[in-house]
Amino acid sequence: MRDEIVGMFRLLAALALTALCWLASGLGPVPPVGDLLDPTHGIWTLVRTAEPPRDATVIVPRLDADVRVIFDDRAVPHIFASTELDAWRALGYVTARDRLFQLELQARAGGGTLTELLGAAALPADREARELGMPRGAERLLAALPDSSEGWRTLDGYASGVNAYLDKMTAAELPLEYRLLGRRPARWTPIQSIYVFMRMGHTLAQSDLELQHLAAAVRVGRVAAEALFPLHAQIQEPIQPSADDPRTIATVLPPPGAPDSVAIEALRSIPPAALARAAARNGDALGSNNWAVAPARARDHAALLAGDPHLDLTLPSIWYEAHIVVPDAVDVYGVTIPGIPAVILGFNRDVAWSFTNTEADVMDRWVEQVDDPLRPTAYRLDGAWEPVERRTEIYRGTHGERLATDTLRFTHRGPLTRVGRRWISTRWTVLESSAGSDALRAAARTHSAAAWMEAMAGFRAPPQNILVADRAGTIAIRSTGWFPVRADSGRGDRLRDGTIRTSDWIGEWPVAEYPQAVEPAQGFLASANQEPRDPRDEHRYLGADWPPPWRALRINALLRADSQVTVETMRRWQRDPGSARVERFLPFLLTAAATRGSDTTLAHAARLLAAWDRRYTTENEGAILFELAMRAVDRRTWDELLPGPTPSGMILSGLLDDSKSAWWDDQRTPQRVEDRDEILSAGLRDGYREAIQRYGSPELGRWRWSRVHPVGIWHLLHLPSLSALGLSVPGGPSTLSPSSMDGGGEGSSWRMVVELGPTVRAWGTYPGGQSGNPASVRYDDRLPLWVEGELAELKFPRRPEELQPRSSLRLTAER
Amino acid sequence: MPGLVLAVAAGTALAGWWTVPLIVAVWLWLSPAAGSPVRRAMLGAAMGWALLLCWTALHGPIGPLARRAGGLIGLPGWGLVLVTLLFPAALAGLVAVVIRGHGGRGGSLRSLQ
Repeated sequence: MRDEIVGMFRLLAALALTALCWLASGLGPVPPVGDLLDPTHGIWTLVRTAEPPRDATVIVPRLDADVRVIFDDRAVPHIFASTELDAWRALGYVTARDRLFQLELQARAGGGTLTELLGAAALPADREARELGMPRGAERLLAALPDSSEGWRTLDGYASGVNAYLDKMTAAELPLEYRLLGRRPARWTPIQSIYVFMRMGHTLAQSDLELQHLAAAVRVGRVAAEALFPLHAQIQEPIQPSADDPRTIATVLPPPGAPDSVAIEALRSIPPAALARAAARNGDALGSNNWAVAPARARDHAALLAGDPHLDLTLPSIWYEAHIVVPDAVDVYGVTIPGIPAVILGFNRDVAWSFTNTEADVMDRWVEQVDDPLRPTAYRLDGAWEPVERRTEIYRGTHGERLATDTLRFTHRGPLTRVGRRWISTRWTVLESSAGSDALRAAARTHSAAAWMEAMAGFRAPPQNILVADRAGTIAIRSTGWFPVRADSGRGDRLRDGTIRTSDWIGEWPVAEYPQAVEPAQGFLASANQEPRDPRDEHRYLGADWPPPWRALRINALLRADSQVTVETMRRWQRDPGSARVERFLPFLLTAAATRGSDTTLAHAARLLAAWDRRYTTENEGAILFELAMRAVDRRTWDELLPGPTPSGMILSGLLDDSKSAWWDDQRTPQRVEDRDEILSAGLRDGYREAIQRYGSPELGRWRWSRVHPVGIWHLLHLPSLSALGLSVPGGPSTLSPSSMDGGGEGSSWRMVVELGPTVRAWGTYPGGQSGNPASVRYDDRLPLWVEGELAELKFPRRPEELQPRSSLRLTAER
Repeated sequence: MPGLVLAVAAGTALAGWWTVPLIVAVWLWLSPAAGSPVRRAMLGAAMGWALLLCWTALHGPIGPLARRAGGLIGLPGWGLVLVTLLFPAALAGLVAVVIRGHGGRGGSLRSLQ
């Protein structure tokens, strides 16, 4: 009996041992636990590779000469090379060392091959990238680059640097994400850099203007839709300044009309996901800023430049900081995007620059007439049938298995997609613009603002408001990119007729006619994604439904009020908690509440709001009431449009001046006709009640802005433990450091201030750290500084000897 | 047992985690019958990996990684360290239970008592 028990016990142990070994070797989606936990081969080895060796020499094929890379105390590589090509090879090497997984993930996102890394869950994202024509566009751009061109050689050099790292990478250095996914990194090829550039375009230069119009026209007719999503901003504080800025263009919104039957038919063909995306746009919460002051308005009489692009915040950061020195050629410091061989935002010994997104419309759609509604082989053009180009797209899984196969179609304009019963082709400048990184590299070599602007004329997409300042005191700005010229109305915010060639783009704006300003009389320049030029001075179509200019108003107000600007002021402004939007709406809310004197709830809400200092500081307890009230006002005012896209806060701002507009009427109360003050006071009451429901009585202290508005910086794979969540930072919708009311993942991705004195000095930081290795202290070591709103001084040595190296790397040619 | 500790550490470092059951099996076959082989095997294997973790910690702090990687499976940092040590211990203990009484000089059923 005893032997039987022991035998059974042993059998169970054997089974358990087998199961454990099986589990440890990887079981289905479970990663190989044994491999992960192994102290010498598993994830623990990442500790050993977290800090780079103090002094190492590595072989990088095809180098022209040795390259020295010194890492400073912020882990920024200072690359000292003899040729520019060597410098980009070295950048590829160090970027791969620090950000290998991010490199591959971003390139795959642009190339539509995420499924090969992440599995079938990524299929929708891959389909979107391919249906937009990004892989095809990248292939065509690469094919058009001659092997001898600087562009090709740079991409190839960068790829050789990445691959040199892959060749020498030990098993211990394999990034955590690959271990969790059970994958190995793919080799880097030049097209991957173009994929990354396309991905940038995907983030910054897509537009849903046609959809917003359609959705609104379905509910309130074309005339009203036109006014709700207008061509021009009603508040003008343009990038190209005028003497009477800011000015308001008085407009009266036409009342809601009857649903538009054509729009109803057209909207039936739009996928719900696309409509939801259009409806989710929140122009008040996003955006980037840059501004510069001429020496005359700076306390120390040197030009100053500040920039803080607001993008999705991720760990690791979208940016990788680097300094590249090639004697007599280039000496540039700034941030690069892993995968792109260029410093995108930064400075050299004479010039500093930063960008904001232009928000121009560079994506148009045509309704095509096809020969077969299910599988078209030709489309009608000027009375003849033109062949449709077909391309088979195969989506593969992590083991190379076929997940799906799509046939994509293209007209001469671009990808042709079936939307309901219609076939729509899209043309998008991003797919046809290859010279972005060439222009950035050329600009980095210049020594004056004028030369820099000239070099950047070749920058095509995504369009950017490029701001520059130089040591001579020149400041300049230009909205730069490929701006299409359309035939007929010239507008790109409407579906166009695909059956005639005359509806195609017929040219592009000459650079000289881009919105721009050089050495303005006011002594400062600023951009914050607002409409670049006052329509009074520029009638051509550049875009529509511009983001509200609240941030532009605020920056310009601060700049106008201070003629002794310092670096410290610039730094402080980047996190300024004030808001032009609040200044506009709050008095109306208070006045409306005052007209309803008998309502004690409302009176209490109004008292709280009146006591608010109108700032979005972390300890503030008034901002949440204002934001919830504004949400409620939005819902009540635009009830005719819900659940579709609603107009921006700028349209609501214009409506304030028309207290009896039909738009104020609440459709849920057919027996009554509400006016402005009724809706505003009802919104304030709603907001107050919601605040109490969510956070309790204001006396409990739970209305603190940092508590209700945490910022989250997610890891690229959305793994919470590798993310930084619940960060407490000031700023809200429409402040200079904006974010949506519910917090979220967007924010100031690279804050930089540059002083262009006799010697260029710069300060900056981004949320995250240089290393993508979660075992490294450099994974998120910059977060505290970023949260506090402080900037680190950026070391800008001319020679390696000027640095106290934290570690150094010698890249040497193959022997 | 120091021999087992060193052997587990060396085997893991040279070839990987899967050497742990093999090394424990060999150790059981070679080791004298005295004491509890299951407990000793578990302790020896865990100590072998603890040695390797200590060596890793000499290269840099393991805290940040433990915290972040532990969080992936809902564990605190120390929890991941504990799991890392329990894994070889479990392998070793199961091997010891399976092969006790089989052939080896230390393989007596009495060792469980």
